[in-house]
Amino acid sequence: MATSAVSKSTATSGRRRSFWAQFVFNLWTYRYLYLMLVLPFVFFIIFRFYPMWGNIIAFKKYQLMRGIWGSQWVGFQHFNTLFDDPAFLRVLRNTVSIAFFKLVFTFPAPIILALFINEIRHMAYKRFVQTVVYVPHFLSWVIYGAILYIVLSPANGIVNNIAASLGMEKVAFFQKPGYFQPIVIISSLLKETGWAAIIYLATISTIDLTLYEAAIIDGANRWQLMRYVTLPGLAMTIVTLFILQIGFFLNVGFEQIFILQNNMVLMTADVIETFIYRVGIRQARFDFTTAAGLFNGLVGMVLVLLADRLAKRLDLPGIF
Amino acid sequence: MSSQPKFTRRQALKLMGITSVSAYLAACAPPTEMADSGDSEMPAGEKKKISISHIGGGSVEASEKSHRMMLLRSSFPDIEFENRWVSYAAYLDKIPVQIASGDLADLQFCNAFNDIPLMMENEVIIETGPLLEQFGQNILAVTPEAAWASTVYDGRQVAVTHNIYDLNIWCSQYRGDWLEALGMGIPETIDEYGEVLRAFSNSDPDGNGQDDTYGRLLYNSVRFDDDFFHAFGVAVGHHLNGFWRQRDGRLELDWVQPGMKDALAWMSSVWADGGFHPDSISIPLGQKDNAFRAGIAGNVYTAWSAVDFAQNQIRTVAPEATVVAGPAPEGPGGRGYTGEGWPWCFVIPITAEHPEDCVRVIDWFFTPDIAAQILCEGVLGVTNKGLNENGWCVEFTPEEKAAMGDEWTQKQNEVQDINVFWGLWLTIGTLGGVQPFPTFPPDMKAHFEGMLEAKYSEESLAAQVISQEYLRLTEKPRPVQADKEYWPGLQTRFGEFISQAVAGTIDIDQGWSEWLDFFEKNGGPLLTEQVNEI
Repeated sequence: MATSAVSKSTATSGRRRSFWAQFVFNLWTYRYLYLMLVLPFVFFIIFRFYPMWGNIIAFKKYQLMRGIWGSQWVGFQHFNTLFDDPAFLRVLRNTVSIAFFKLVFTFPAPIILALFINEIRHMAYKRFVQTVVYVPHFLSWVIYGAILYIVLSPANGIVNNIAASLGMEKVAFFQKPGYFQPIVIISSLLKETGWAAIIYLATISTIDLTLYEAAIIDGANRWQLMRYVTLPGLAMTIVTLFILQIGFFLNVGFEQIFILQNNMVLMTADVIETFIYRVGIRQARFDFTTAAGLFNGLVGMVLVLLADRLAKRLDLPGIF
Repeated sequence: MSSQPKFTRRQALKLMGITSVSAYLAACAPPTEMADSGDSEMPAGEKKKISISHIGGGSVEASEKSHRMMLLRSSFPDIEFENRWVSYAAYLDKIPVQIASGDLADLQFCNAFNDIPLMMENEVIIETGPLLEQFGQNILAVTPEAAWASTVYDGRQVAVTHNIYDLNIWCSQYRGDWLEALGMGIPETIDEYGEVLRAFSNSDPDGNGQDDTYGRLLYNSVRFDDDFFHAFGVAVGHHLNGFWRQRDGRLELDWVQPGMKDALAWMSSVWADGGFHPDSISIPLGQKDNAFRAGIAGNVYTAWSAVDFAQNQIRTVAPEATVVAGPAPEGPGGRGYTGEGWPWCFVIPITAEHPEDCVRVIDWFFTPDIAAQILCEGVLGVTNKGLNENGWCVEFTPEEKAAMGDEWTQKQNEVQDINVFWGLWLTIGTLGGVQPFPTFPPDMKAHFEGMLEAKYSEESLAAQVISQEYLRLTEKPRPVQADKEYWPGLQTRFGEFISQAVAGTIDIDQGWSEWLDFFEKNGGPLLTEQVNEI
């Protein structure tokens, strides 16, 4: 059926159609494919685009009984309050800091892991390694956080017990603000690197084997194969994922941060997402935290556009 | 070949189209009209519908199967109850969203101090004063004046108070065997108290030759540790709810008084000497008592009724262990234990179709004859003795439970998921709070008082007397408008400051100045002004 549709389209391509005529023609020709698109399209309309209207409460004093449209217009008042709020400035600083270090450490880690796993020649061992590094992903942050609390406990955690046996001071890791962000980065690395490597391993498996054969004939060693064949083969995936990750730059992982933080370390642990939860949900200040969320989204959008432009400047494929 | 008619693509598309249009029209249908709150006439044979949101207990299934719920349903045959149980943890997240969306139960359980300002600002609840006069005589007869104060907002009485918390439930509890082993008595002063905590941590009170014990458990963020603070003339207030006292004719928040800084400095010195369990300040609140019950901490500040339970738990690892209650340690600012007060209540939203029946339902729980059937712990006739000849429930005594041995365990297993229905009612003695009502006839009252005496050990009952003796309550009677905007921010900042100050991760002098500055700039003066206008 698809072949006949294509041939029909080719046969008629000699005649010039108007845009709408061509549109209708394509719509009818590929109607079953478009039909399959209806549900995802409706999903995005209802759950992604329609709620965007709700962002207007960032500019209103939202009151339930008056509704979104009936609530009083206050302009940029919530944004002013937000940027005057010392708590928000601290939140912003923490968010940017965690986001930056997560990007620096957790983005390249799965690429490196995938490259190394790809070099394992013993298949049973390769599968074992893959399984071991995937498993932590399937633990929820609640479980993972509890494990971290136990392992790092100053009372009887294994890390502190080892430190004490070596004559070192015990450290209350979850009570010192300076340790919080490193714990977040390291625990992210341990938990998610294996899972994130899957997409790179899948991409590596699509690289043409003749490229490796040619490189070997040219005398390339394994390091050079990795450097000059595998890595360039991953370039497009890396750039695409990098740009997409940049779009979520300020989304540093609510669940992880929320579970690991406590009042002792709030000065380095409070991020935009936990701030929105605490102030917006727990204190029901939806208008105020919508302003914070809008700011978060705006920063993400600007960063995506910048990253896309930078990628194109470097002759790498962008996403637009 | 099949003889059935073929379902064509065209028919499939038509069906999808009709379904989509129908779903769209259903979604666009106008919401149900808000009922006139005064009119509840129903067509003959049709039941009124009332939804009840409550917390506590194990699950919605448990409360649904409980004797209390069955009795409620059978007592109101004209009402169809929708049981909207939520766990306490879920309640904390759900209630603001419920308020913002208007999706409140007809009888909505909530915290007066935290939730009523939000509800009133959003205009989602009705006044309950007139309804109580008409339909709540049993409630009015048993509820003390202090409880009503918390339900008044902006001059209007907007909630039905609840008996879930009494005023006098906490006290300091010690490992008696550790004190004896160390040759120390129950401390009376804050200095003696500090010495006991240090000794529990550093002098091997369990005699096992290892450094594996701790003095005291703090509560996550030092939110409940008011026995220390009262010794310096201040208090945090349970749940960081705040504690207000008269000072020079004005109500002032304890959080900004100089005694607070002194209390924190004292706690910080004990922390530095290892007197507190180092995890307890940052672990989730739900695990607060675990280290005491596991036998590795020597002191805890908690409900008096927990004495027996804690002792039994500790004896699984230390058979000779004893738990004893002690007085609030006395310091330069006095002494005291903070009472919870009356923060919990039921509100009725403007969407309730039968508000008068909602009040009738709550009033039913306060009726002596009904209360006498549902006050007891356990499932009627299974994990309690059922009703006596007067129709009053009877619990098994601890001795009777022990004598049953495996049979008791089997009974508990049989009904383990259907023996609780907290939220609408706490069983007698639960949390050490619920007492027989003053409206009970003398013989009924004597029956339940006797049951309470048999239920608890002498140590527990002594702990109850102690907790009552040192009870202190905040003098702020009710929420004010500024609470909504400023109080949560102040709570967060203060919780952060005091936990860091105790653990020594900040300089107390600098932290204190910054906190006072924060209070001044973030609604503290306005809040104080409004509290004094009450």
